[in-house]
Amino acid sequence: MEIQSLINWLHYPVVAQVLRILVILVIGLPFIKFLSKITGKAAGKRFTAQIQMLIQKGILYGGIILLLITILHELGFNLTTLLGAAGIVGVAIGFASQTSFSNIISGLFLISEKPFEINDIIQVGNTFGVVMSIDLLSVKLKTFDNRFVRIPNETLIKTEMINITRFPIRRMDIELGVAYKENIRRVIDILKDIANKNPYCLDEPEPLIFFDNFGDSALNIQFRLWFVKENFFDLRTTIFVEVKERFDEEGIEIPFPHRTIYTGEATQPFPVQINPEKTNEE
Amino acid sequence: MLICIEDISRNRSLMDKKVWQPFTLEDRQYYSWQIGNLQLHFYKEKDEFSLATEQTEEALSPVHTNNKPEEGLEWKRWIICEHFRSLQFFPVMPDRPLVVKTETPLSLLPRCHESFFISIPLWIQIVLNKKYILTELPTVVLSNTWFGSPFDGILAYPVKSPAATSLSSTDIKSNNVVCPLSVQNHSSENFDFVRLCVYTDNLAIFQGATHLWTNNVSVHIEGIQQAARFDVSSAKPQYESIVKTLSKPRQHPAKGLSKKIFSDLKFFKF
Repeated sequence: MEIQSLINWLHYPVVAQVLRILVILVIGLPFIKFLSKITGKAAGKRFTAQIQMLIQKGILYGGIILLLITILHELGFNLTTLLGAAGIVGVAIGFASQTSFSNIISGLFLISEKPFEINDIIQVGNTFGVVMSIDLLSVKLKTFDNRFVRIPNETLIKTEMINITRFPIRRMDIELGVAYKENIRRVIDILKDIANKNPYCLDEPEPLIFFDNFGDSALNIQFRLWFVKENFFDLRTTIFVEVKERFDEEGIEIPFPHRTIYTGEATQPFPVQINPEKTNEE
Repeated sequence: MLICIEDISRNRSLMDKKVWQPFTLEDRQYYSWQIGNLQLHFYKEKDEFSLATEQTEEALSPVHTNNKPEEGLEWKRWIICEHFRSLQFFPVMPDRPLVVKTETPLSLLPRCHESFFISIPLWIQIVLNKKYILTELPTVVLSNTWFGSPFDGILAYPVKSPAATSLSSTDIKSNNVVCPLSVQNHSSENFDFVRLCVYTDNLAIFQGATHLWTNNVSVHIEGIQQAARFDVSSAKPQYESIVKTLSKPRQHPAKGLSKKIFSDLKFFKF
């Protein structure tokens, strides 16, 4: 008796329609997700991470739109009328959200121009970070102190952006100052030796070391070293220590600004107090 | 046949085949082994193998001691889930290509060919129970160099060579392998041999009567602007009698492959 009443109930058009929609959703959504995932995996073997993400998102959003259209059709909506209405609504929304559209167009330019890809390290203004995703509206970065930064695509198109990891090797430019009394040729030879001994510094392209100019209080030397991009931090942390230690060892003076403190009257000598207890201790 | 480590201590030459044979490890016993500038210290206890390495100033032929190493070494440990006593060293080629730079400028005239002997520092592969490769270590730590343009080159190790045309004038250290290289200039222009990239992946190592050898490598230059074609011969080198093959190439040799092998590397300096 109960089974019969259930069958009768299923014959109600509304119930049948709801069931059909549920079936579409239950089968359709996981299928789209699955399709997006396996296509993304397959694309990952042949394309870059950025194209892989684009394909994955394209399949996911395209599939969801198709699913929505199917459901609306199932509910009896006339799609032609609906699309017409959507066009009018679209224009209205377009006027109201010009910035978003600008970001979308900029996003399309970024994708086609490819100034950077996912996992590249970029600098925008004072922000450095690893590109996590390139979306239609914005680019997401992860900074080195583990902060999340969202940069609108329009900003990236308008402002100067530096891709730090585009090429496999980079150059580190260091400006060094030595005292005027130093023999400049000897200093250059010592710097060459430091560069040769540093494991992160490349032999070729060879380090570029030259006397740059006569500074206010020092002879300025350019010390330019090539390195593999992954070794940036290692080179930076070692080379400065090595230069300082070697200069100390060789007795080469690195000048620094001196400050003279007056007590208020330039003509009076600076008062010095001698503490006898301290002097005896030393 | 397994040999005891005591036997190795008497063998001071890489040419002695016992150097490359497995030997037995005793529990709770320290061992040291030096080749070139690389000094290895190892220790076994039940199912655990520990290894520490250090680079020394003096490059030596293989030397073995049973002394306890000094404090302060950084040890690395491996847990092996089976009974093990056998340890073996294998000579292997460096894990990256080598850029050979001639000590003096060298030109090869048109339609001229010459054979050179290039001495290359070895790496050592450490193998437990004949199947577990624990690690590979350089017998000399080489610096890094770049081969190609700054936009799409490759990372390599630099090697300075006199590019000697006879074996007797080649400086071959105890931890080096000799690569016989034949360069054939088929072009109508002088060829300046400035920097040569040796791709080590395709090279095997053979034990000769007096030296370790790689396969013969031949380079064919068709034109200065063209990439050179290089062949790695699968045959054993013919310069002296070959006792055995010590290690296979990391990749199988490719015949007639055209690659960028030479470079004069002109960078804009600014």
